[in-house]
Amino acid sequence: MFLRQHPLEDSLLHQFRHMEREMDRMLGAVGLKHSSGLSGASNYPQISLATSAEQVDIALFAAGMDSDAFDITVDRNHLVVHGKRVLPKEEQAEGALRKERFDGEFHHVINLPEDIDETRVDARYENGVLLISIPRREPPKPIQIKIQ
Amino acid sequence: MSNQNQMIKQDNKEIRKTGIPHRAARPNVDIYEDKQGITLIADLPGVATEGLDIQVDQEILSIDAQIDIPMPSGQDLHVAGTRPTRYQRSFTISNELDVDNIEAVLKNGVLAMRIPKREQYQPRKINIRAA
Repeated sequence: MFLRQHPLEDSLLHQFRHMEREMDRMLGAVGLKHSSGLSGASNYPQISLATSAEQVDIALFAAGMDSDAFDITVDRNHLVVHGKRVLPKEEQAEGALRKERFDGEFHHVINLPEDIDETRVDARYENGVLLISIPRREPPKPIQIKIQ
Repeated sequence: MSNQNQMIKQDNKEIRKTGIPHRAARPNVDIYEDKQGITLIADLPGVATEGLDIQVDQEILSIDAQIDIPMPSGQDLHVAGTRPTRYQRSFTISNELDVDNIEAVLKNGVLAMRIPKREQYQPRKINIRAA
C-alpha cells in the first residue's frame, strides 16, 4: 500500500507544480508577480542556499544589475529580496532574433533557520551574483547544576 | 534592397543552438541584428573574465564559462536541483559574419558580443560624382 501511494503522490505533486507554474504565467501576463519563495514556481533569479553550523549563505543569480537595484530585508527568519532588472532600451531595438533574458521585477521570500542573527547580515554583489551571508547565533550552553 | 532583406533572413535562420552538453546550464541570450552586424547578449551570473572561454571554429561559435561563487558554508542546495558549475551554449553563425572582428565585454555577469557583418555584406553608400 505504501509503495503504491508514492507514484500517485508524485503525480499529484507534479500536477500541482504544473498548476502553480500556469498560475504564475497567467499572473505574469497581467502584470502581477506571484511571490514564490523556494517553491521554484518563478525561476528568476535562480537561488542557491548553503548552511553550516556558523552561517547561512544565499546566492541569487541575477546578472547585469546595480547593487542598489536590490531591496533586501530580513523579517525574523524570512529573507525578502526584491529587485528590478531593466534591460537598456537600445537592446530592445528592432531586429530581435532571440529574446530570452529576464526583464522586470522579481520578489522572493526565503525561509531561513530560526537561529540566524538578523542584525549581522552581509550582502555583496559580485560578477552578477548577489551573495548574502547571515551568521547563526550560538546555541545556549547547558548549565551544570551542582547538588548542595 | 530586397536582395539584402533576403540575406538577413537567411542569416536569422542560420543562428541556432547546436546542443547542450550534460550538466551545464544553458545561458539565456538576446540576439539582435542590424545592418552592420549581430549583437549577442548572454546572462552568465557567477562568471569572471578568466573563467570565460569563447571560441569560433569554422561556423560554430561556442561559449563555455566556469561558474565560480564563494559559498563558505560548503555544499549548497540549488532551487532547481543541482547547481550548475558551468554555462555552455553554441551557435551556428552565417559566413556573412566577420568572426575575426568579434568584440566581447563581460560586466556584472553579462556578456555582450558584437559580431560585425563582412564588409561586402554591409550596406554601402554610393557616392555620386558630379556630372
